[in-house]
Amino acid sequence: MQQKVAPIAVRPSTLSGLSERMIVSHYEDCYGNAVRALNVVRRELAALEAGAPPYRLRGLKYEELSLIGSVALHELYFGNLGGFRRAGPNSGLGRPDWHEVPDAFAAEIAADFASASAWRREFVATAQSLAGGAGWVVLGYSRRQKRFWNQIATDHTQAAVDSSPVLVLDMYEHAYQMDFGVNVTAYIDTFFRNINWETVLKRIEAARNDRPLPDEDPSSTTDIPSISVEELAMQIANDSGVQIVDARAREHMSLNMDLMAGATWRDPDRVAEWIAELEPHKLVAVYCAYGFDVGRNVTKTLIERGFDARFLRGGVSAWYASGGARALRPDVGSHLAER
Amino acid sequence: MTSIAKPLSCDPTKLRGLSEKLILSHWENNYGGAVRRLNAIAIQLTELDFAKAPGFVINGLKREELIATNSMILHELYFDGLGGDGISGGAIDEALKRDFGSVDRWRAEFIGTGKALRGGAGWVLLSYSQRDQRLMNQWAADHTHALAGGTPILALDMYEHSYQLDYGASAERYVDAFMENINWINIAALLLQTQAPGERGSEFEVWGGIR
Repeated sequence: MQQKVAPIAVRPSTLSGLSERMIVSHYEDCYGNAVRALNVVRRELAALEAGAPPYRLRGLKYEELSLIGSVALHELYFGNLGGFRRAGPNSGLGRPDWHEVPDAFAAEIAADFASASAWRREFVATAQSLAGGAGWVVLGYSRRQKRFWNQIATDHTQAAVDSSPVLVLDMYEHAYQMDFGVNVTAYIDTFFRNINWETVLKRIEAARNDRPLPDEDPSSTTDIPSISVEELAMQIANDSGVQIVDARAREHMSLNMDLMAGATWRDPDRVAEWIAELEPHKLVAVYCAYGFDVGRNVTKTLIERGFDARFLRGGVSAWYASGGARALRPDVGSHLAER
Repeated sequence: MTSIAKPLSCDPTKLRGLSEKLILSHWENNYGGAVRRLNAIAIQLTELDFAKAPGFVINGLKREELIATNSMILHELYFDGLGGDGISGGAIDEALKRDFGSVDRWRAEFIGTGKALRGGAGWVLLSYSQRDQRLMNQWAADHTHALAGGTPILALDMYEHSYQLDYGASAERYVDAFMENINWINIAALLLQTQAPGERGSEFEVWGGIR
């Protein structure tokens, strides 16, 4: 079974107090590395011969467990960030202070904690106890006991049995060192400000009703045809002649040194100027930074003009996370001067 | 027993590819934090009535004591190992050749083990095993992993606090920078001391040893 790279579930540039650079590095390097390593470990496990020494198997199974945990927890972590309706003044979530949690959430956990503040204190203190080390704090719903509890994990391998994680906080130092140094209190505070409570409540609803946790892939909310990074890699490997269009906004390009190997940057605001350069009967894969808007809009325009176009789910960030090749971009300045 | 934080043994402004900010934050917060934590735990342990205390309290304190003690010792070793030019020679190279086949082989193994710990936490330790009378590269996924009976002489910190500020998630570049800054003179002194316990090498011998 191949582990696929999930597009990042949150727009990394929209978080409050968590830098885009840190979130993207976290997603592409840490999460992406876990996905790639898991696939390697699984291939090695599949190829292991019957006579292989037990310590080889033990080492691989340990890594497999750790990587499965890392992949799942990271997806949940990014998924519960980006709360655009965070609890706060005028949020409609019933709290005058954004430090507090929304009423709907407080009601959910009321039976298992003395108060929402008591829950928060325990969750935060658990996270602070992991400062300078590694680990996770997970608010989980135990399906067996029908109750919520705050679980600590000191690495990716630790998880509560028969429990659904509904709120996940990464306490590995890669989650905060770049922006906060050793100041975990500031990081945890900032995390709370960015919690997407709608997502958390949806997870709770699923967990309570014994359903799998919701699909949080942002690409699943559109009808515009799309292609995954794995499918695109296959197209390239098979020499299908796929045309790859880098449609990141011009200001985004000026901040980034590289692009996908084999791609050509095209200004998403000037489709009419370059559309004639595309070959009409070959697939066009369009990507933007994270796969939310720009790539989709360009893809829609191309389809309206009769092209077989698809947007890349998760954008170039998912491509890098999957280990896809990158190239130094041709100088954007002179490219623009030509126009 | 009260533990006292040692002064930083390397000059944090002189390291190549490791910023002063990074080293000072690492030393003050992570190393200093371990020492302070250890002292707080020691007080609690002294005051604990072991006959009556519940097992989980004892387990918790003793586990934290082990974590903080090892963290303190390994961090001291880490900073002591920095501040050099990364070029080994003499007695160190002979020992590495003896135990790993070649210096390059040792290097590849040590660096590879460090890079394999990217994105997580841990240590890579070059340790002398009294039992086997040889050097080994030891992998540790946290402060508590240690080779039984081993004496570490070179410690590479792979906790993300040792590189995130300078390198983000790019652990590979950090490991390469660390190797460039190893103070082999200090390591050679430790090796000499470890292989012949009780006879602390004089500065002259240490210098002579790596020529």
